[in-house]
Amino acid sequence: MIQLLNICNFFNRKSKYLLLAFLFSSSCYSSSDISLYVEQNKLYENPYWAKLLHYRDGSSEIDSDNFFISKEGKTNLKKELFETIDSLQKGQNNVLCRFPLRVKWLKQNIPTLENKIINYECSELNEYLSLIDAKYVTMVFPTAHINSPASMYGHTFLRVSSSNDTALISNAINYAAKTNDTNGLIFAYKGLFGEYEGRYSILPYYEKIKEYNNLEQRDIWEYDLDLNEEEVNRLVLHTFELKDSYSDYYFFKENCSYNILWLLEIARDDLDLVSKFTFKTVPLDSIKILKPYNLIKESKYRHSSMKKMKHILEDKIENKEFLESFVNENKNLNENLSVDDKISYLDFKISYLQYQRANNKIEKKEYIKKYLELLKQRSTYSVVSDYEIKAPINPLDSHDSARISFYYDSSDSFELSLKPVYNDIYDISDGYLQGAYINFFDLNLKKQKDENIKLDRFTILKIKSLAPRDMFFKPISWGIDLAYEHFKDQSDYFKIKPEAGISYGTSKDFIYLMFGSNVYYKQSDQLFSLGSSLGFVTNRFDNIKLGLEYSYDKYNKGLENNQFELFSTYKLDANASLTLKYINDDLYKQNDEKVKVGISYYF
Amino acid sequence: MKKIISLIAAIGLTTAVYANENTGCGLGSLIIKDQSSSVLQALAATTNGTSGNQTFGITSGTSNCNKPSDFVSNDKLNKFVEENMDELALDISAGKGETLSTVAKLMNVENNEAFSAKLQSNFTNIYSNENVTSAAVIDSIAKYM
Repeated sequence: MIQLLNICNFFNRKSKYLLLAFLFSSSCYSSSDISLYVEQNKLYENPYWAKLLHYRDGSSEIDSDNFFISKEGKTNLKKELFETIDSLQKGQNNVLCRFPLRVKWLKQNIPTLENKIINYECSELNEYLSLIDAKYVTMVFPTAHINSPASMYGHTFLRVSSSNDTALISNAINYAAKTNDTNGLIFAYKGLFGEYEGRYSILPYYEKIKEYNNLEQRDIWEYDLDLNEEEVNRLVLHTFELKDSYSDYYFFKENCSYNILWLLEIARDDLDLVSKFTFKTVPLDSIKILKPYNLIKESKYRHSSMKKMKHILEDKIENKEFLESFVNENKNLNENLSVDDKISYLDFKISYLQYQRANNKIEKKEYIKKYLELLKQRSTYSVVSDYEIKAPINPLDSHDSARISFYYDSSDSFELSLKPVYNDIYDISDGYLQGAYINFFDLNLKKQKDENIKLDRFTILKIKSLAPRDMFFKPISWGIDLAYEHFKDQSDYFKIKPEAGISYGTSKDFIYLMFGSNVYYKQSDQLFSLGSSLGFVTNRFDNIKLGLEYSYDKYNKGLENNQFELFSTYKLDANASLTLKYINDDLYKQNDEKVKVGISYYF
Repeated sequence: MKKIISLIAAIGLTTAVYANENTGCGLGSLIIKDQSSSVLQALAATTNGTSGNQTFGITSGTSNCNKPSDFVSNDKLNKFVEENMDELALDISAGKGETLSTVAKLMNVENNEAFSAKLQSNFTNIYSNENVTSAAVIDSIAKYM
């Protein structure tokens, strides 16, 4: 009936077509009628058709031929549309079952198409649809992993579920580079320059939980999306269309998060997401971009196994006297412990044992034996383990990834800096992983009194990973700084500064002690130093971050440098802050003091 | 530029090559870090979940393990327990957890709390030994419904 109505409207509107219809009689449309209709409506110029084929700037971002019906499908939307229709009519290329969303959309937009195509059963598709049984879609954000800077940006993927009560058995739709390379250098190079195939995959959500929460010890945020049934259906159908295709994977832009956005754009066609990303796609930005569309219904926090262990260690256990011997020397539970502590001891040791197994520190056989013994012991206490682990600040409320800052200092000079990513020690940490700092391509210009504006520093990469140690976990903190720098207002050098050390602290504040070396290089001069730094950072106060650092470096050429810095950053709102710094540096002048004040805006 | 990037990559990041020792139908099926790759670490790996095997492995595929006597045709349940033996054991012993509540849901258990308490006190009967299989675990659990 609807079909009929469509045809009627269609006749009313299209007088030319009416004429043709008279000529050929209405019960016998030829394929040229469809062509004429498509041509008259310029269907191939419809933006949704371009989305279905992942077009951006005139060509598709999908790089495998099997995603297109036409040989020119990657760059020619019109040919692709006509050849798709042609294949449907002839029952060729299995278009009907391979590209169900395209077919659906074409049928909706070409009233007569339904009757002209060769229909048959799509068993693989039907099985897929019934197994996946999708009703809800969630954007999932595994946060950064401390001490692994590659993960400092996080990751995103989608979860589609049929019930909110059984999230674990729902399915994760993931986009990732496909590789078997284990050499880090090859890996990084290929990842950056598009030499891997990025592919979509589906796997059980519980496998992703195991990977992130239990193996990599990363917290997960889940953002439930407000998509209706029809939109969810489109997303699921389109995912199926992508299953055998790939696109070249680029770490900075066309990465996991970027390609996940394509799926959302196709689910709801008024979303304009991928076009917002030109040079970089930071996972966190790719979630925040959904906010203006009111797409995020609810945020949920899923803590890592490490968070649970730290929580038991720091907040639950009252008497820690026997813990080390209980965990490491397999001593029995001390009878003097309270029941609560006994349970906490056991719960900690059980999680710690899993952690050891995940890191391959213990053989499978021995693990199973110990694991079962501990669980049996735990089950004798008929008390429920219920750990209320407080969610940290929602990453949705963090500052955006790029920053522009303007500083004035007491020696009457001005500085302007611009960086595309991400979060450094002076930035407010809300929503970011504390102690994990990473900056790329940070440009700093300086205008000193009576001098021309000049390049003060260009940071290629700066990472600082301050991972606190405790009784059981003893990570090494480390940092690297690669830059081109105008050294202490003297001369330009290429700089490399590696450092390593230790940190202690809690989720709010920590101290660190680092040992490092500065290498400043230019053709005519080289400077080397060995030294150390001691610092403290606190996020204890709302909206204010405080830090101080003292460092000592002994250079060649008899130079010695003591430097003391105190800073405070005040959060004006999520994307604006004020920073105040006091710096005392004695390299070329005794007690050369400076006060700097700056304003930063994030975008 | 390429040299610099390689240098960046060389600074000890990890390739996420994981061994999924998911071969049996019993305990010990944790995902573990592959020993061979623990020294060389790489960019993009952990960021983007890169791995060699990527398929459309939708949940509730068929399992390779023996079927329990109860819930024989509940593929979702069988597969889930099979691949979450360690997590389920942990939840049962602790009297609570998402793996346990998922199993309860898949078995259509109404009173989750009473069910969990009963399982906790019978942990040693359910996970009776180191070689217990997922089928045996499901059958034992079914007795306490």
